Amino acid sequence: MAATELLQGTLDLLILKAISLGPLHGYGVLLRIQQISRDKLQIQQGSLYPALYRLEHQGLMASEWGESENKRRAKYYRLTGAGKRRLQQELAYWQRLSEAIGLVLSAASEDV
Amino acid sequence: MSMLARFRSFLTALVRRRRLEREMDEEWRFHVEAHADRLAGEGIAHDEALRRARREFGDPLRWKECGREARGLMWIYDLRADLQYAARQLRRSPVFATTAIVTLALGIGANTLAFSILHAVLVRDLPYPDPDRIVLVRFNPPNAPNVRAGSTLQNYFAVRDRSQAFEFVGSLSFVTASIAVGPDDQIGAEPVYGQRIHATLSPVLGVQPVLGTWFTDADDPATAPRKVVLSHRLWRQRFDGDPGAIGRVVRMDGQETTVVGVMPEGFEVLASDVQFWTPSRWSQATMASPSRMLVVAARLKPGVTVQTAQAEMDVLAASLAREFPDTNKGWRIRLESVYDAYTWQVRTPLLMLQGVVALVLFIACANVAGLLLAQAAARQREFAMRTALGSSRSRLVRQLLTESLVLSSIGGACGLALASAGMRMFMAQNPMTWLPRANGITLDSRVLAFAVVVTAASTILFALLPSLMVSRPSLMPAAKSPNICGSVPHQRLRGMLVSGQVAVALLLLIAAGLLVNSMIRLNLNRPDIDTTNVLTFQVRLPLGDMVTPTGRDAGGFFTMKFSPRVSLIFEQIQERLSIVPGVRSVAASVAPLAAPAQFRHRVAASGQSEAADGGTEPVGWYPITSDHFKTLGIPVRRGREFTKADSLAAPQVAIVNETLARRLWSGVDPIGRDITIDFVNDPIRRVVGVVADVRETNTQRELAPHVFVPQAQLPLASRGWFQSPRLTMTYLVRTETDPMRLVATLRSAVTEVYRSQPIYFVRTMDEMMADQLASWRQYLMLLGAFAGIAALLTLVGVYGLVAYGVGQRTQEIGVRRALGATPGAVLRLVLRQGVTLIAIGIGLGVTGSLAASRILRGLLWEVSPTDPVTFALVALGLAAAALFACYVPARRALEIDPIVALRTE
Repeated sequence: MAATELLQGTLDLLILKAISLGPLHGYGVLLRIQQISRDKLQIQQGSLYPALYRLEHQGLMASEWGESENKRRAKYYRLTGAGKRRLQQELAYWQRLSEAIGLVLSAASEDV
Repeated sequence: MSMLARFRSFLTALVRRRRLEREMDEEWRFHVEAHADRLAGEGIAHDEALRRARREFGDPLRWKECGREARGLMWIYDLRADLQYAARQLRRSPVFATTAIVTLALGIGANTLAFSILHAVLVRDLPYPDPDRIVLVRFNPPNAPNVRAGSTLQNYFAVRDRSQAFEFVGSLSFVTASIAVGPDDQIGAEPVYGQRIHATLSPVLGVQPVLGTWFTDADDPATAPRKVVLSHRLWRQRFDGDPGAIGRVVRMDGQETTVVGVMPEGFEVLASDVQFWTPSRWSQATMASPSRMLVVAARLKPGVTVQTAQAEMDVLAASLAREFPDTNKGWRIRLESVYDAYTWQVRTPLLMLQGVVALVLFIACANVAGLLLAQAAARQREFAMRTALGSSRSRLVRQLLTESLVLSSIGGACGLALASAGMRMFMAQNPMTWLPRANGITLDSRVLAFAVVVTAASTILFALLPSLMVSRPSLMPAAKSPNICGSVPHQRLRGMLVSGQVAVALLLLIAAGLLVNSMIRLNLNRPDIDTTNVLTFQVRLPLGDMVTPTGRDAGGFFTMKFSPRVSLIFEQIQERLSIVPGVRSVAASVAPLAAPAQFRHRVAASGQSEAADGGTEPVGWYPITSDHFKTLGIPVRRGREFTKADSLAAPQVAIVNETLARRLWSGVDPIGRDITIDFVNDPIRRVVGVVADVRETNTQRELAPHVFVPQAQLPLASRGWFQSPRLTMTYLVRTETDPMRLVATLRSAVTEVYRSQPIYFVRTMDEMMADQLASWRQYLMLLGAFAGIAALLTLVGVYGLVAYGVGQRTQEIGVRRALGATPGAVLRLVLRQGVTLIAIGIGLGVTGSLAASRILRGLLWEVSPTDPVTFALVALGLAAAALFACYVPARRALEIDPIVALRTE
């Protein structure tokens, strides 16, 4: 699937989830999402960092500089406590939403 | 998403801006390299991989901006860009920038100056705790509810002892004394103004000395040791702020007095130039004195309203009228808040001044708005381009507002400098003699805050409309040619502004013109005496050897005997002065004429009842020496002047002026008739002369009655406290030429007669008269300055408008000239708009002035607020100046070479 337009909120959710699995630098987030979604989701490179900065500004992520796998300096992001709580909230919301939409979309003519 | 987290992130971003930028750069580079590595891992060449990675990543600037925006920093970068752009713009058009800045500086500076005066006098808190609980107890004469007269001692004690509404009641009277600090400080010690207070005044005011103590009741009796409390300013000036001043003994009017206290800085009681306070030291005799020299102040009891107190005073006034009808019949008591007492005379003029400078500010803003419009029309292309490139309208408006803010900030700073200079100039005129609380006029924090507010307000005033107008261009025509779009509506708006400016400037100039007219009339209103080359000064004899106390009389009053040397010395001084070369004649009087009378006593014609008009009210009383009227050029209508023969042993005589003669004998020849004067031990006097009336002040309309007695015939035996008139003499010396040149000679002549006696208050009579008009002059200076600024700014505005119009129509003019138009026709074309606008402005201004004239009525002297001469002169003057301001740029239109004009695009 080609890179689809993602709503801003969804991108935030994906990023939070990706980082919840372990601290990552920006490129790493990109790779991990691609990897986990089995190459079905490709984040637009241009929209990644704005989202990262926004989430950091809101206090949901914290950053620090560290060493990457190939010995270069990179900025790693990790979830804060508030970020974890937010992730749970958003997950729960997403579940409810997808259930509801799924119900509507799978409605057969007899259910009406 | 907590606010705290966001704010913390914002602060960090603000402080560590550069580091964050670097970090973002590093992040971006890492990302691109990581991606390139990955691509390389798929088999692509390294350079190609890098290039592709960069391309896929896109322009980092965009997401860096997003990053900044996310952190809430965008507006700072925008602001910085705007400011840099604004500075560049201003540097590119220095004429525009300078004109705008100077205009704004004048407007803001004038407002700040006027506000600093208003603030110091009207707005600032009074220097007492709970000042709204303090009232002044004023006495109104019968049928004169607006006259604020003082209180007699009787009345004061009545108010103090019989009122229930007041917690404390005190009184004060104004005195002058010379204070000699060190032993060498004696000669020429100028008298200073002070107040004699009753000790109970101190709790009324509620302010304690900052050094030492205040007086107590024990200091009030006449036998108590002499004490003085100094003002902060006097303490700093004469004692250099030495804390050891307390307990030092100084000589006040020759009497040894101990300094017991120093008041805090800024403390004042009803007058800015009061420098010391002494206890009242009244003797018993003064209780019955009818002299109304006291100002009575009281502090209301907590919880008592002014209305309750006033009602109580009304009852008291009625009982006083019953008990002491000769001093109180028909008199009423009115309570006045201490704030009103300070400000009633100056409130309206000051508020008017504030209105005037607000108008000046409007004119200034109109000018700058016009300048901005002219400039913006030239920048249409630039704005059209920016809009086409994607700038939002709000962004453009923000840019223009930033430029305006830069202009007004610089203008405001310059305005502050101007205001500060203006303040210094104004204070150098010593306004403290007529403006209460004037010693607080400084550039303090409140005035600065006002300046900032005025700057912001004027920015909005002049910038908003042009910004909005300019940022709304239609793109196509503007991008093509700069001359067509926008100029017509802009010009119309500018034209309206200019008309308005002319109208307002005319209004202000007419107001100033009316005041100038009044001043001229006041100055021309010659005093009734000839004041050319007359020098006046005061001589005071010290109490010590001139008075011998003689115990008490039957009524318990202290009595004393004056030495006959007193009049002898005064006569000798007069004789000695008259032989000084250059002196034409010398006269002496206890107090000078043509000034408010300092001493008043009741006079009654013998044989008439006390109820007769002149017999009840105190009239101006002047002990004088011989040749007095001759020296001053006052005609003697009937009878004669006093001579040396009118000594103590000779028959006791008096001279009256025409008004007193009319009052006492209405039309009958007073020569040979007897009068009595209510002065201690004064005998029956025979009237030997009638002199012409002399008005007390330049502006006095009614003529006041005066009685004159020979100084030598004042009774030697006396009682009570009226000692200063006996031992003071004001000499009036008429000289051949400039009197000031003879001051040193005259001074040594005096000291020859009576050892080392300094002379005080040396000035010419002309100066003395001029001082009376000091308040008018200084107010007029301010008003005139502001009106002048308004007119100047208006002329600049007119000039700018026409010059701009000429610039805009260069091509058109060239065409007309080429087609054969005469210079006159071109001039008419260019001037038409200007002349119309000026005419409209003048018309509006005249109408406005006629409508608003009533406000000025109280301030004018013998000039109608709609005086047609003033109106005509000022209107014609402004019209002529404005027409000239139009003509100068219009002339340049004539010099336009048609060929050059046609080639101009």
